[in-house]
Amino acid sequence: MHDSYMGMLQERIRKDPHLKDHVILLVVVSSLLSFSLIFVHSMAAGIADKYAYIGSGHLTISGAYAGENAFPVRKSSALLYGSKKTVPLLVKGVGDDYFTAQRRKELSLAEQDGSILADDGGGKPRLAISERLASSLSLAVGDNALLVFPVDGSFKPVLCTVGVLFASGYAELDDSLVFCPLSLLQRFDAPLETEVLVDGNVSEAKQRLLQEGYSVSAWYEDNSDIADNLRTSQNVVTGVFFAIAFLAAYFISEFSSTMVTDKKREIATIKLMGMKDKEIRRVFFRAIFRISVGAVFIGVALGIILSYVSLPILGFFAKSGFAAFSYYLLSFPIRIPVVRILLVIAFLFVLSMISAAVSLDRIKKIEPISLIQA
Amino acid sequence: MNGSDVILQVHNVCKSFPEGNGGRLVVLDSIDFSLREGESVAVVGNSGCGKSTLLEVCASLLRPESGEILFDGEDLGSLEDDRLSEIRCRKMGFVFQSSLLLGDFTALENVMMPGLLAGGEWSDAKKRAESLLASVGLGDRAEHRNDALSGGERQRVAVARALMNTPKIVFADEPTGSLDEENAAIIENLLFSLVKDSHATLFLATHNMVFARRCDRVLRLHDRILCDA
Repeated sequence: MHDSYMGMLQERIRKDPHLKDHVILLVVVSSLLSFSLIFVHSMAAGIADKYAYIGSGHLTISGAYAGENAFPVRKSSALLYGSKKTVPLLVKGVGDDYFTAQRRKELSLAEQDGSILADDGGGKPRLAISERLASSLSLAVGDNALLVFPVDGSFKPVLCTVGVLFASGYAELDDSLVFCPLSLLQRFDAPLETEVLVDGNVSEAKQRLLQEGYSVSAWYEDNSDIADNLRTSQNVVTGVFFAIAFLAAYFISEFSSTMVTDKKREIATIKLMGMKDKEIRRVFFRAIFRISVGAVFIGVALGIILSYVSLPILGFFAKSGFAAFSYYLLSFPIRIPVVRILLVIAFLFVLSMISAAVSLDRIKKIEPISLIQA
Repeated sequence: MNGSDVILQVHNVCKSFPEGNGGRLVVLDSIDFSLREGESVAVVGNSGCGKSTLLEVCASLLRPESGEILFDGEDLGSLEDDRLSEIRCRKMGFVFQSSLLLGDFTALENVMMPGLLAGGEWSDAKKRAESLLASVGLGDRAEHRNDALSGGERQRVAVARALMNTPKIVFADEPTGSLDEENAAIIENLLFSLVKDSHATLFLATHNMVFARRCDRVLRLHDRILCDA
């Protein structure tokens, strides 16, 4: 059959009003799928970054290590006393160079001259605590705060000053982490560790350090619950999306069947004129295929746009104190999980095309004689 | 009759349809006849006697229970659906009581369709379709869609479409059945003149004896048996 005639038939099929339903369904499903995947992936990566940059570094080495992007720290549990309540938390002693530009960004700290935790001259150690913690303990910058450390079976109180407030954007960390000068925890013989930030593959970097004889752990081992949750969340979300894709394919199959039923008279006519079943199926399939590719492409693009647009909106809700968002990380860079999106969309696409092809098999059952006898 | 002249040979064909009571209604019983190239033959009979069924069986739209139908040297009963489609496309033309045009297409596109389905070039098919539409008096209506044409005009488009691939046989089942007298006369004249011009065989099913008598031969189907009228 002549290609341009094939194109003409396809064009007529594309004008079928039912195709709008098909396009809308595919655009909505693929945009929501890609948006959700991007959102969950970006949030998970954002939380991972928070833990890696603020919590424990990508890697933690027991003892001293003099490498690039290595930061000596000492950690201890402690109680922080406020005027109204007491909070158990982790105190991390850090050096002057700890607050790099990236960490300042993760902690929403303004660029300041000198060290954030430098002695104010009054002899009291300065602390960096979160805005959430300060608010719950009714503390402000310049206020005194009492830290009590467990040392050798007893408790050592240390009067400190709130030097700076930070906001990591992630409540889990904000509520449980306080920074203090490295020298304070050295006083209590808290073990020395070195946090290492890694550009690239964390597991490979860990293996290299292990081979060099260091005792190393990765952030996802130190925070295994969080890392497992993030991984599980992403996998569950991806699994759910495969199920949604399956449902969408079912509806596309139903749509294809409806289209064949609606066009029964036209199909019978062109069969009467001598068009073969496989040629008719090809015409319908190509029309559905082309429009599906376009719809999925638009859907994914909309999903990506929606991801970028949603963050400021969610941030606005977070700042408005909307309780439902308080334990979510709402400030993170958008990262597009290309492989996962491609997998889900390819699954949706292949399943849709298979179900459409199976539905179009009904064309075989339409006999030209039905046209005449009708 | 010269054997080489025969375009359609029907031998001992039987056709029945299932009935509600589990039995079968026999419509055609041991039908034997043949059509020669270029002749026009009408089959007449009362409504419901099986004229349309006979035409549909001969056109490979229905398969008979038994018997043999040889068309242009091929046994239609032994052919696959794809081959039957090819034969319908290249060697047969159809005109029914309803024009059966594609609603989304113009008159020109409807007429071009069999030519393009047969693998013809677009420009050739267009030229041929325009010529056929002109010959049925619709040269100026080529770009009109189905819904912009009258019943008579649609049927004229159907006649033009039937002749697009210069078929060896044109099957016409009550082609004027739904038309007024004036349009019926136009279609009758067009059908006879154009089929004759293209040297095709015309196999006509009608209950209109005046129309039928314009054919070279008239067969009567009565009580499942076909005989000369």
